[in-house]
Amino acid sequence: MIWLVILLTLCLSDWRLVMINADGDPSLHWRIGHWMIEHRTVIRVDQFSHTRFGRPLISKEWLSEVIFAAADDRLGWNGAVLVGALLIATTLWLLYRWLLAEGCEPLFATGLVLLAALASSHHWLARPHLITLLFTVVFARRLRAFDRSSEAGALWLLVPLIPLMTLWANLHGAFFTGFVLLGVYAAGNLAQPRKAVTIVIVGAACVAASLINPNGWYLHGHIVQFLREPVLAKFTNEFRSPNFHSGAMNGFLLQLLTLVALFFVARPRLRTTDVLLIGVWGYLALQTVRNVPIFAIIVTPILAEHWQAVMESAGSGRMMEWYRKLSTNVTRIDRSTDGRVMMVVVLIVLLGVLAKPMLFNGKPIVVTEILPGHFPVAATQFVAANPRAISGEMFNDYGWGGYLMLAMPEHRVFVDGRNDFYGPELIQEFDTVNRANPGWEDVLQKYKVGWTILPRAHPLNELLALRKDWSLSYTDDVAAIYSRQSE
Amino acid sequence: MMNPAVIEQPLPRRRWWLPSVSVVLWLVFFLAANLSIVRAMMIASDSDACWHWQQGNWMLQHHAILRTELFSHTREGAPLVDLWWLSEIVTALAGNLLGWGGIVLVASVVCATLVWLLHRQLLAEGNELLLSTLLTLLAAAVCATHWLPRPHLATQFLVLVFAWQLRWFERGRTTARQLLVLLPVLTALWANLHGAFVVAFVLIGLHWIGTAVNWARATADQRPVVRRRVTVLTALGVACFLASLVNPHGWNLPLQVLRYMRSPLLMGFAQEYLPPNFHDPSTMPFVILLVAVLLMLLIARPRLSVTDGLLLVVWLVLSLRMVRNGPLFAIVATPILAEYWNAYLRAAAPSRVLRRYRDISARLTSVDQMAGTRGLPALAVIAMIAVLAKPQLFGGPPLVATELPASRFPIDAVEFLRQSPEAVRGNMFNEYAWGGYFILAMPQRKVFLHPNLDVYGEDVVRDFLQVNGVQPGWEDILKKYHVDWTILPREHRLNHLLAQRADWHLVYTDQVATIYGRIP
Repeated sequence: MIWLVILLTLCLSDWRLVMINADGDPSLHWRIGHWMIEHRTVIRVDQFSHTRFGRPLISKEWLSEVIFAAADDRLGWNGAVLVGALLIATTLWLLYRWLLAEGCEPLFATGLVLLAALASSHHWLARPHLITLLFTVVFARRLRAFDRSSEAGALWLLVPLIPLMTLWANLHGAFFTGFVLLGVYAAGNLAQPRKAVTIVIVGAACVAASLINPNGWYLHGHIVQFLREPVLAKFTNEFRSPNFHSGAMNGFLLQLLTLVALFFVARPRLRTTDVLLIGVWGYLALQTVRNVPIFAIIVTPILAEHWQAVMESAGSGRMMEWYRKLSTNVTRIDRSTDGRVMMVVVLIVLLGVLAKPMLFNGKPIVVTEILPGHFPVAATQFVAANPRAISGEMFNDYGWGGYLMLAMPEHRVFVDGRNDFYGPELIQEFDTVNRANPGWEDVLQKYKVGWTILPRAHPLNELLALRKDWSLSYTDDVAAIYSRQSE
Repeated sequence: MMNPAVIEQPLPRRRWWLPSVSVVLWLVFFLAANLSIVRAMMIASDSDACWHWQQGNWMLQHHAILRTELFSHTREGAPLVDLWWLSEIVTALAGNLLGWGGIVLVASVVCATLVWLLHRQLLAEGNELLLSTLLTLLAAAVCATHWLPRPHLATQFLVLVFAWQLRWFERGRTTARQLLVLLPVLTALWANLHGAFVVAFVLIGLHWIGTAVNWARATADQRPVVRRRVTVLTALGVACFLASLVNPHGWNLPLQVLRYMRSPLLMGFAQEYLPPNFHDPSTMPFVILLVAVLLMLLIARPRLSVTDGLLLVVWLVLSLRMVRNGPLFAIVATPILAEYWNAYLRAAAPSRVLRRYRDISARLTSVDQMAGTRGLPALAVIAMIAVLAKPQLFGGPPLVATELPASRFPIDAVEFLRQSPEAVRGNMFNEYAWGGYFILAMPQRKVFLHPNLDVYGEDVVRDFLQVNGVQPGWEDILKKYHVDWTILPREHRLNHLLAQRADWHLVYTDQVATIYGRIP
């Protein structure tokens, strides 16, 4: 049921528009994946920017980009939404199955999974990072099972993680999450050296497995360098600390409160690994908002285990009696149904709905498009219709880079969401122009920028409007294009 | 609760020259604030102290409470609810007598006394000296992130007193009469010192809820006692509310505070109202405090009272929402942490580390019991006043110079305007962070915006943001407010724009600030 509700909600409600319009990265991944499908090769040098054109490129998520692009090429934006929704729904379904396997009641497990969904929903975008959430569930479940198993014969629980790590390393750059989990479980088992050594050995095998990718160990070096570069991390919203003024963080806050309430009410005797998991991932989530969904996944089984014990040992008040009755009914229904057939049927029907124009022609039933109020859709149409209106290289808004790569592949961008590729030097140069700091003209000249495409209210537009060597080529409510006058 | 082991041992002979650990803490924080680089950091972090000094000055000069806006042209003459009038008078008195050194001196006395008082509270509650000292230092490190010479220090101090007294009332160590006399009087003082006096009601409210829950769960013979506590806390809340109305603005004061808190634009404008940035190393003490709380809950597994649970949760949420609440969380959480860590450490089976800890703690306690000196803090304050007042008393250069750094404030630009008053005419558009400094340094020139956002409301702040962000329509706003000159950081984007304009010209520039004037 959880899988169906999440999948259908994401694919058929307005959420599908949020998934592709929150930033330009879904466009970016489609464009890069499309290039790889077209050229039947993994991308190794940059093709899409004029500032770093031809430079060696380490794509941290080449396989995801191919998958997203394959879906998008067939189903348009509905494809990206479908892949994203499938990943989210499957992650939550796996989390739910995990809780049931540990003896949690279905009603209670549903509540906790919905809480985890609420905490992580702010990052439900149609991008490769969703794969990390899926792999986090798989890794965390196996490690938790190993942690709780008797020492002998439990190795088989961890062995599948090794090939999975190869897959993860090719799908998304945050495969390091797996190493953090392995490290936490190794540290938590120091009192049981054999277990700790087993985890370390599996960890080493996972490191080796992660080297099986098109970039070998350069991938790891690239990621470490990125994480150690404060300028790059600061530049990206999702690397900032959570903003608790925003309603999007209410789910995370609620989950934190549920955890604290557990400590007050149940006073559980937690295992060392659970303490470390809460401490490490709690800190990482407070430091970087993109870790909040991972924290939500990690902490849910701990909440389930101890709250379930509280519920079972609670007295028999009227409320508890009512809850138990309801829970028994839900459990009976849950056990008497097998949703697997339903899942396949719904997926086929959904595919049919999304692919209707391709299968039966006519208008699409579900239209999923980039919103012209968020991205410079009309401006790119203007450029396509008036190619002579601009000349030279482009200076573009950071958040629009991915969209411009996709919408105007014949023009190379100045910068896009891949700030790990561009490096701190170029990002600083971009920032100089973007903030109209001293030296902005030198940067534009250095990169032979002949035109700019920026949000209408961007301060650089105000500056260029005063310059005799620049003129307004196009403007609407969203974007303005300024062009350098030829001498 | 006293430690029985401590009571049974004969007290060692007191040494008149030896200060207690609490006094040492006081001295360390006081001297560090006054004699190290900390004093420059305290006044340089923003210009709020400047503006409070000037407002206090005006009140001292005019023997009246400030009731209308005087220092900005955008809201000149608008009604003003001064949330800090008493603190501002104290600031102005100290500043007028001893300059910036005097203002730092007052702030440092408050901060050092806060640390001393927290340490004394922990000891009075029967916690071991070493643990109390470590936790006090941790709380001080969290509070220190917001130790600026501004009225909010009064709130940090009074939160400590309120939390302490309410905690002791719950434990039967403070009588109802003491509570009902002391806290309303302090509320009246608080309401005149700083706008965050509403925190008093949060604390009373949480204790009221906790006690009410206890009442609902109490056995029949406990009920009368707990019910009386609920009644006392209810009466306390009412008395404190009435006491808070004893201020020059009456109940416009709480209304103004609520209006401000309900505006997301204003609340999001000032850095200290934003959530903590955990990438910033200055949040590390707060993280360590969170870890200490987490470990207490997971290792000591205390059976917390409802009130303690509420205090921890509510202040945790508030401190995650606003970085300025971090110190208040530290002040409220530290006694709870101390109580349960202390109990855990006493009951824990002796390991090598624990034996070492107990050994150090016992030795430190025996030294502390020999402490006989009492007047060192007073002596230190007098000595520091003499040091600061040296130019006035004996002439010559100051021994300790405390000045605003010319690298952060447009001091040379202001000097230029002083010497060339005709260089600019009309109204000013200024950098927000410098607003307070301009009010102090050139009060005759009215600013566009200064940090007292209460007086501006959302409209003026929005106008300011539009110009500051060089958004379309910025010129119309400058015309609307008759702005004829700007004073902004050298690299401000508006400067680059004005440099392109034929109707504006560069009046002055240095490494810090640039002034542009409109050509008549």
